Amino acid sequence: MRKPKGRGAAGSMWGVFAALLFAAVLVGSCGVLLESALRAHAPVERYGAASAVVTAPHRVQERIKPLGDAPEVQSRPLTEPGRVPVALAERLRGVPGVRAVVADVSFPVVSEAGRAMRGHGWESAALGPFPLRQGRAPRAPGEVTLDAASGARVGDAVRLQTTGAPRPFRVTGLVAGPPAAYFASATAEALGGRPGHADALAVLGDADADALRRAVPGLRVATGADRGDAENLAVAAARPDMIELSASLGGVAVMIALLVVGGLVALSVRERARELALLRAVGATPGQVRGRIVRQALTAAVPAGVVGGASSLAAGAGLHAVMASAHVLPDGYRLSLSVLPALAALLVTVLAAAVTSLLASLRVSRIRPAWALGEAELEPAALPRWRVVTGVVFLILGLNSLGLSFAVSGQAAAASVSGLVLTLVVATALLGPLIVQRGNRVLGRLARVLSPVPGRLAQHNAAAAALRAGSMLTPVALAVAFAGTQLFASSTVARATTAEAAAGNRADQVLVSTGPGLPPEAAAAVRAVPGVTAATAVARTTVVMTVRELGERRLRSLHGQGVTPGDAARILDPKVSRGRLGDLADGTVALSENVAGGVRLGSPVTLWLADGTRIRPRVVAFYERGLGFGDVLLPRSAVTAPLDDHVLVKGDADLRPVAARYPGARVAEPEALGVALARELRLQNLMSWVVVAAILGFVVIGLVTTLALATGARRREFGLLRDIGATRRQVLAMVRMEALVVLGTGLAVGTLIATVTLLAFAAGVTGLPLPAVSPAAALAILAFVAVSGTAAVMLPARRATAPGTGS
Amino acid sequence: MTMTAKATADAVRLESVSRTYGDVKALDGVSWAFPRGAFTAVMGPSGSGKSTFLQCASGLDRPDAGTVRIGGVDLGELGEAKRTRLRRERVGFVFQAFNLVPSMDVEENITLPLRLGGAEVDRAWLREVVTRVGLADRLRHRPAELSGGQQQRAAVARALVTRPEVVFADEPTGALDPRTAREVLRLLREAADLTGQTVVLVTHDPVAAAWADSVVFLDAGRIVDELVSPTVAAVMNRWEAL
Repeated sequence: MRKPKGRGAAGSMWGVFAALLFAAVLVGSCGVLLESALRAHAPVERYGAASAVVTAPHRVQERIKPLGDAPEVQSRPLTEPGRVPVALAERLRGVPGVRAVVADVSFPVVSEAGRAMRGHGWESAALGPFPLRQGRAPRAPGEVTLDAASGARVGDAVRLQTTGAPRPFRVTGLVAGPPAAYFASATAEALGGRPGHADALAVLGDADADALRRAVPGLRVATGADRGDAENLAVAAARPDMIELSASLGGVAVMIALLVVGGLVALSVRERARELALLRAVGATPGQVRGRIVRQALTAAVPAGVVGGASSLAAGAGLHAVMASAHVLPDGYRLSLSVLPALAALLVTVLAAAVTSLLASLRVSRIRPAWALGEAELEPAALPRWRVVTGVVFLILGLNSLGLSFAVSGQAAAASVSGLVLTLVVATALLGPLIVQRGNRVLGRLARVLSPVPGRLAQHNAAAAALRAGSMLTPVALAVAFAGTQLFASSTVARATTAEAAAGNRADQVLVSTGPGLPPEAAAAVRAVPGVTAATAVARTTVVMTVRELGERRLRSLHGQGVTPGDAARILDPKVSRGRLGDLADGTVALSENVAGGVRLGSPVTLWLADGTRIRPRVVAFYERGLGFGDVLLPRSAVTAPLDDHVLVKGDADLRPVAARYPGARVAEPEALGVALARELRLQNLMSWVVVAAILGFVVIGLVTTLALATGARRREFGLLRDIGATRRQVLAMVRMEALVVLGTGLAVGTLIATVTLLAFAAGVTGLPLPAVSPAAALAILAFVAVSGTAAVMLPARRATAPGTGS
Repeated sequence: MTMTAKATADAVRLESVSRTYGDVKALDGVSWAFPRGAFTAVMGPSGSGKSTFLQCASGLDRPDAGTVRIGGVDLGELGEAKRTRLRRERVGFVFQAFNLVPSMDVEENITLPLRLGGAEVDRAWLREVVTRVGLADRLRHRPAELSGGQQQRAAVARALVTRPEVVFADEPTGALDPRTAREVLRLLREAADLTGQTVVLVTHDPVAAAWADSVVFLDAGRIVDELVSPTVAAVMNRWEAL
């Protein structure tokens, strides 16, 4: 059969094309992010001359046996390098081809002017290689060689803050390379704070990687681009989360594409029922008509997939650039582009079109060829039973998991929001006609009050054409429910986090740092100031722990804080529910109730610190403010980070003299922490805002095309009304009233879904069913959907009834 | 399968056919036989069951009871797909309106049943048919570019292109002016006279019915009368009597 070129079919096919195009762009962009996440390596800079770099494993692995399943190995990335015994260097030197092995340490260094550098032993300069430009290498404990860009000159005396108080050093030389301070080896090892250990053993020379691996079993041997991950753990650490994020986003995009395109294709089939009936009458078998519908959908899907897939590469690159510039992605997290995401987008688009058109074409068996004969009403009034049953199943499924999944911790709850919303929207799509009938009873009456004659017509139409009205309802409800939950779920978490952090902070003042942080001795110095009644260091860190969620054990990365035992209990109020925070000491830990599942007070729990060190501290307290304080409170001594983030102080002593001793340090009000935290959370939410904008844009495209298609197909009906004496005003008023009924019902259903989801979400995450909803933003969403929906209905209706286009 | 065409005397045969929609008995035990090559008109007031009669006789719809045979084949024994194929091969349709697929041009519309069946288009026969209906120079036009009469003539051409045993026409002139209506009726008459098609015309127009060999009158789902060699006056008389 030749391809159709007619206006009716083409009009609906343009709508399907537009929706599929956007779906392809969205899926492809997620694919670009996913590919970058799978392939991203930090750039190799400091280890450029090393042929291989030996480090501790970059992730925690744990064998976990879920109930009734085979055991699986779960893993989480580490955020700090693990310790490698320097003694192992001897074994590496024994491997043939190895010319030299450098024990590389790296620690933060800040100049008096506040310039941040990394400190290393002098041997590490050979790894770049970063040759000497002037002077000589450092030999004595008080000597340092700086990078040439530091502005220092050979012979200068400089004060440098490392992991302790600032100390004077004499500059002996200048080298090329990134901001760095090189010390004599013994000095560097002492300053790094981990005597006898290095962050990495870098191998110079030409050795076989497998031979190196055999020499140091259990350690990681990185070669090629992989060396970048040894140099900078941030990229590797960000990868699993980015993989999860982009995959789940892609999944959401696919589901929304199925919903939107499915509705459009179903609608276009319904509008062409008479033509299809004619085909059946003159001898097309149901299979031939189905094939025709699927083929038509594919003629729209293939170009949409090709064009959308190609543009998705640019869109994905743009998304990556936005995230990188907002520091949602760590420095050095590079874009990785290939045709794979475009191909995946094409494949998904074609599959989505095939599946939805196949589903829509199942209706064809209900199209009776005899319909081609008469002018009889084509719209079958009753909803097929399978649709009602499936819809109710989805509804129960959604409501059930709504109650269940939010009963657990914040991380899992936040991830499940969009899936739950989509489940409820699928139920809406299936039950749409029934919902419209209900909505029509209420809103139809309102329409009749507003405008008696057209209102009555509208109420009648919305009831009679419930199937059509039902497919107009779905995208409206989807847009409102999706945008509402995404935006307000993240603002709910953000508000709860800042509120908990502020409510639990009893400090009178804070010592903060604009640089990499404060050396631990700053906290001690503060405590010694007369008038200070208590002071605690706060070092933020990441802790890996197995957490029981919904009865299943999962390895999770948790936010944690290292605090000063004793004083912390007097300044921090994380709302202890069991035990005492005052009991926190070396070898103990306090956990938030979010992660308390299966852990008993007084018993030990297994944790992995940021560098992978496994510890088994005893639990001395459980607390409720897990969002504001992180899920784990440790004694500062247990935290591997060399610097503190800030020092919380009780008492009104003048801390300015202490602050003056540490470059970048200053005294601030406790509220400043809240402001900084809020800014940080906003950045974290940037991703969800971008996503909401993209998906909302997609849904609105679907909404507009669906509504425009549904209205444009009624030209005949409008013509008939005009012929029997309705004025154009009356016809338009009728359409407006119908829009009121259908859009109003859609907005109400969407709001209901969003409200129920957000209430459950807020109750699960913050303990109280009080979501943070900004009325202005909520109104903006509703108004945006209502206005674009009304325009999509009214503009085609105006065109269809314009003078000169009557029957 | 009983599709082997037996040379029966009747092209279409209904035996005790009933069809009920809800509580309404649209057809109530109707039996009738349409002889080969005959042009029969079916008349009756609105709601008499004319359309249901045509749908059941042509295999578009299934009766609740009774049997329908086309060319000796019992439609009741055929599944949906086989019934469709039989319709494609042995039956032609002309409806009152919306006869043509708007996205296809005239030639595509006319040859649609052939292409649906995967059959080769017999160009000589196609040329003869389109010449007979007077659309030989309109083959590349879309339905929207044709007059109402031209559209109905295209529909007649589509009904004839498969050389069916029987052509069913449902009020084919209902929307046409008398002159164009006459052209369409002449084409149906020629189908019976020149190429031996059995023609069943459902109408309530006595002028149209007068073109047929005989007129069957339907009322309340039953056949109540038959008029052979009708004239317009005779048809009108019987019509008044109903």
